[in-house]
Amino acid sequence: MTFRTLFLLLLAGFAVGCGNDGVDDEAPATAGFDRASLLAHWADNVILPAYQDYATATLELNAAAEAYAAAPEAAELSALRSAFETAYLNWQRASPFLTGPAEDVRLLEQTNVYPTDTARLVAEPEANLGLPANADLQGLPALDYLLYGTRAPAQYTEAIVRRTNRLSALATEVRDAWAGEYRDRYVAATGSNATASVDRTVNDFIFWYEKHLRAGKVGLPAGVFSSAPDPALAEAPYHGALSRRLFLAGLAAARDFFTADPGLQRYLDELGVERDGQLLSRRITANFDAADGVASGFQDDLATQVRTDNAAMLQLYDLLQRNVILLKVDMLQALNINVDYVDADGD
Amino acid sequence: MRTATSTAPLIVFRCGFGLMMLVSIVRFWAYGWIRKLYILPDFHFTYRYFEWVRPLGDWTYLLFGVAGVAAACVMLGYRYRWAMLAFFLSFTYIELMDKTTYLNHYYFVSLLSFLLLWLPVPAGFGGATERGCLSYPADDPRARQTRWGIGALRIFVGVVYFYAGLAKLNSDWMLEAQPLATWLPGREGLPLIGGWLRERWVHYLFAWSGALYDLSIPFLLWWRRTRGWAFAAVVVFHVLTWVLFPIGMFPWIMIVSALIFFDAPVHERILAVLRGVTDRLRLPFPAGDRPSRLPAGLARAMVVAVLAFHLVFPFRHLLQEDELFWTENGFRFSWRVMLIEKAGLATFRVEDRASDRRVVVNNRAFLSAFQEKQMSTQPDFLLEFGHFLADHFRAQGFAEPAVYVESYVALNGRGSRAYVDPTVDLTRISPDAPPRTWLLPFEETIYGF
Repeated sequence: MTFRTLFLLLLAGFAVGCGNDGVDDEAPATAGFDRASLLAHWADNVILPAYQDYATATLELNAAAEAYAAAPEAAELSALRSAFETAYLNWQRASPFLTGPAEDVRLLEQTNVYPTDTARLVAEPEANLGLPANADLQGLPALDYLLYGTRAPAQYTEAIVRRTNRLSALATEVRDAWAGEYRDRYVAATGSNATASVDRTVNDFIFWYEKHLRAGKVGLPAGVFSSAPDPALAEAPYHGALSRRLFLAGLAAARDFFTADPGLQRYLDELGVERDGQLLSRRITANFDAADGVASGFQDDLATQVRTDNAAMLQLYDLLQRNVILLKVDMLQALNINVDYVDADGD
Repeated sequence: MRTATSTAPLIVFRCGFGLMMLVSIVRFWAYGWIRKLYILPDFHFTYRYFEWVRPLGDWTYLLFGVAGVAAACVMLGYRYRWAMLAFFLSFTYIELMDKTTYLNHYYFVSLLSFLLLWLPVPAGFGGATERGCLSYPADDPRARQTRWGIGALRIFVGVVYFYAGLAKLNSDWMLEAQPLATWLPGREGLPLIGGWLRERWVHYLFAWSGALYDLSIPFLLWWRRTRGWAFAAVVVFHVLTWVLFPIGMFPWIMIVSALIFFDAPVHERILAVLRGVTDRLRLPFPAGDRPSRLPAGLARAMVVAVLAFHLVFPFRHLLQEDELFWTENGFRFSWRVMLIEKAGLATFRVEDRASDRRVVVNNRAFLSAFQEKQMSTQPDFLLEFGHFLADHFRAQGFAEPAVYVESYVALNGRGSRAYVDPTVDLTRISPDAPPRTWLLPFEETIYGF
């Protein structure tokens, strides 16, 4: 009899629990995290503005390149170089968001693969820029070489225009997709599986943070992945005074995406996610701030920084790595963000 | 007082098991998982002592085909023992091909199909006698074998529940409601119950009632007076887990398996319905043929051996000192489910001791996302991949490759911790070395079974 009573109680507990849910579902205290408004905020206030700024900058870059081709004088070159810096900086804000249109047109691969192959760049002016094998002959790194690494950029105006043309065409295409039909599809995919927008955006963001910000801008030139440091692997090596600003812009983009409200920080805090006695979100923002503090004291050119004080570069790398772990392990786990979908019984 | 022993419970169990297995195979195939899990990846994680079990390229489809046809034969009772043997071998081979896909319930299926191989189950859906189903006079030796078989299946299913309940009696599950507290908030998009899944007390309710359910359900099913309610609870519990977690076929398999606790009349009625369907469709299914004979002593010895293994093997972790949840040494094949939420990150570095060559490995160049995920939290995976990398880079011209891994794991709501000792060269670690000797210590204690 006791078993039976106990059991009935248990079953009743379940039934009451389920019954109440139907009634109190709209209670604000337990309103679930609203993925649709999160995605709308990301699309409208984070991603689209980043691509708008970047696309505008590439159009101005292209116009400046055409002006320089028409009149290859010092003033036009200076305007072109300035447009190049703006475009490169704006790219850092857009590049974390490769989900969807950017992935479809292979935007990153055709925009910022470095080091650029300078020998082929000069020897093969007719190279088909659409081919994956020619990723390192184009984009911003190729312009860096053509504008700052050659003795006379005026000899390369055709090559420059070909590249600014392609950059602006790709950027415009991605911006238009985000401004148009893709946006609604993105916001509508509110599920919580590997193909849903939240999961894809966060996975792509972390991938970018790990491979492009941490490894590409810092780890590779500092020699973390090889037997010795290699300053030639730094970003924008021919400009010679831009790579620190590029890094800081990327880091700011990462921090801003994390703290966007509604966004990941709010989501973690609403779930009350603490790790080792501290809010996880606070640990993550503290690491972003520490990295910013360290890098702000660096040389303008990270290649120079590698040559003069690589220990500080390695310290920066460690700070960035801490957030790879917190984002990829602790945050993804706490937010139940999937890497891939198959059955799992959780063991 | 019953004067005859009906074989109906065994027939229903056989049909249900065959059907569930057939659906599992078809589902797996239809989702494209054969290709995704066994054909596309270049590398596969093997089980110790079963390193020779590998996917068969495109022939892997044939293997699944064999398992599917065998499951259909089991369902119908056509050449039952041969079909069961074919199913056991093909299904077990499939499960051994890559431990990335290890699931507790796949092991359940393998072990259960081995047990079923030795039980005297008649063919068809019954119907050989005017009473409805093949039955034996109580004093017939085959009646005893039948009662034995039913008892063996009840014990088998009951132990799975009870051990799963015992495993829940640990401090993470009972005192922290982990890992449920991590998982449930992720399901708050669900209708009706979604809004409650962030509540702390709901996590505890689920944790405690889950443990109580697992520990008590075998007894409540066994005792006739509670059986009906207990079965209703089985259905509610498993449907709820199916709604909340991506656990595939497991809930349905357990619901069907729990039918074995009902007495023969219930099964007779189920079979009568089945026969009604097959008669109306005029399907020429075999009637209640007698099971093929095995030497009784052999069959009984095998059943006893399987049950003994079933009872003892899950406790093998007591033989070693590793923290079970941290090292997972002895975690598989022990009816431990839903106990661990682990996430990890592993970065391998291969260095040539004979030169200054050094490379950081992109895991995804060799592994699928799923394989990488499973590897990053389980020591035997990390070690096997480390050894694979040594071989790979030896072929690439590294004279004396040394493999190091920088890895982090977060377990059941704790912050991430460094996992493998980063100073250890994995090529010098034997697969038989206890993980505690080359992992960093957990430095906390999880109490319980």
